[in-house]
Amino acid sequence: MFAKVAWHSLQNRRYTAILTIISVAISTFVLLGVEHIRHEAKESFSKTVSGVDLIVGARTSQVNLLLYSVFHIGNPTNNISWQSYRELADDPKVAWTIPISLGDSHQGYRVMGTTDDFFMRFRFGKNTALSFSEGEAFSQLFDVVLGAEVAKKLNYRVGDPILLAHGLGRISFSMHDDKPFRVKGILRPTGTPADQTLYISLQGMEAIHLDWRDGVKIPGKKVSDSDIDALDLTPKSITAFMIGLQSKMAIFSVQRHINQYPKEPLLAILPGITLTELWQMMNSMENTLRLISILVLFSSLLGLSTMLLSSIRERQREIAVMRAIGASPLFVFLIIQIEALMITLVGIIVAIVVLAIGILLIQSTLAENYGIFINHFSINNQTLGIVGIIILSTFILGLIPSLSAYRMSLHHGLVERS
Amino acid sequence: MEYKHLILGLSFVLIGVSEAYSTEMHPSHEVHVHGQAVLNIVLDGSTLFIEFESPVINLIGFEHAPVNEEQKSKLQNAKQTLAATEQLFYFSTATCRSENVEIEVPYTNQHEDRKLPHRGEHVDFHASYTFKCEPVKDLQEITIKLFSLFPAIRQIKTYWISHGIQAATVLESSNPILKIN
Repeated sequence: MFAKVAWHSLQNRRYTAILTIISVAISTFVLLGVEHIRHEAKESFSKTVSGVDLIVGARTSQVNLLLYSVFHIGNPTNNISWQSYRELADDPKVAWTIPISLGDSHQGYRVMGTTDDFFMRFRFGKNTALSFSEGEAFSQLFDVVLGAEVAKKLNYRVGDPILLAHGLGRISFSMHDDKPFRVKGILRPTGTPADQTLYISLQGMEAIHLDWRDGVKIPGKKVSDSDIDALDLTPKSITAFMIGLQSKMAIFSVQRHINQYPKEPLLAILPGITLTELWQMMNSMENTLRLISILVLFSSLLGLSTMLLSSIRERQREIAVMRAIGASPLFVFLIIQIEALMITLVGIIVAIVVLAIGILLIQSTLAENYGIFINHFSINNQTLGIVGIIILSTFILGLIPSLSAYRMSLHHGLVERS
Repeated sequence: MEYKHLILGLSFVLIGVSEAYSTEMHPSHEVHVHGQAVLNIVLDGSTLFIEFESPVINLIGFEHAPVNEEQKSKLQNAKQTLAATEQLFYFSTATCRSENVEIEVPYTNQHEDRKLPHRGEHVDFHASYTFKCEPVKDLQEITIKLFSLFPAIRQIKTYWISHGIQAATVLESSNPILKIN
């Protein structure tokens, strides 16, 4: 009965009620959205690389090296020489290495030069290996392997020819159009930036830049395919490389050795530790975001209670009539509380529905442009906790109007005011 | 979305900071902060490897070659303290047997002794420990007791690796327990 009375009473003031619902919905949306994206971004980052002991690149900040080598965010500051790479890779403590060479692109997707070891050694998620949905790893000079998303979005199949663009960007005027690549394999989806990448061999990377100088093609100069076979295609430099060690015990000593490498300024990072340090740095920003969303929620709940409080002025008569026909003050109190609760509940439901749809819509954009993989929205314990807190706050702030109605004396509304 | 921009913005700031350093080349110097020590911990199978590194001043109160008997004995005391593994670490539930202890005491090399220490030259103590732990799955926490032994150590930057997880944490005297799980 309470619900019915409250519902009709709200219908009577439907425009203010709808506006209040929207305000509650927006604030709940912000609060839940921030929490969800924060949680998912962390998950997505930490599952991108696993089983790699060290990542080595030119000396830069640890976070920068991690971001450009694994997440393809930002740009490398410098390359490292092939000699240094070989020397470190031949260290008996090193079990395997995955070289990474970045710089070219295909329709906005990054091209990564690497070796077979990438497909064999790279792990993501909980130690899951890469696998092919079609074809296999590159074997010829101009073979390319596609990440799942690249193949899906651009509709490529094994055997299709591909032209790579020099540099980054979706539209490029300098194409490696004299050296078309052929799709050799397509990887299964991983939910990591690996899906957004094209893989070619280091030699292939070197070959397409043979007749280039200073970033542009040399006019008239063309290296024919037969010439290429005769050339030494060992790269001069690579962007970074990943290391797997024979024994984990050696991680810190190898790291120290690389960081003090005398021939070239190098930086070796432990990916997991760098991520932890990144989260520690982000902590204050996370807290700021959370504080802002809590303040937004508080102000909208305050708005809700203001709305109810001002409605009580209009409803003095209605309340008085209820009291006159025998309703107790408690009944009036509950009616107001239930109205507040209804508005909040509807607001929360609207927020969750909009958030779930919104995340479905932006999922692919986030993954493509930023390499961040956000799972669809699902209600977990944390969500329930937040919803519980919102409802509790509604009750507390709802005390202001409901207590004021509770205390309103019986004759208050019945007596005509002069 | 905002979050992502924050990461991007942050990384640009970091790139800027790092660029200032990248022009400075060899020789490399390790970080040396008085009051701060570093612990590297690796748990692989049942072997636990702990590496401790601290500026000398944290352990003995001065950072130059000992000039009198008192300072020499301080240096020896520090070495003995670092060698007594059961005084340094406490392992919850699991039993960890010390297998190997290596302590690098500075200023003990004759050659180094003769030359006068350079002004402002930083020197570190290094110690590494190898333990065998049984049963290793019970090893959840390590209490680091270095804070009470060397009160000059204010915080210990701890990097640990265990069962494929790499993580970092900062321990302080009020919070000397490292949780590994």
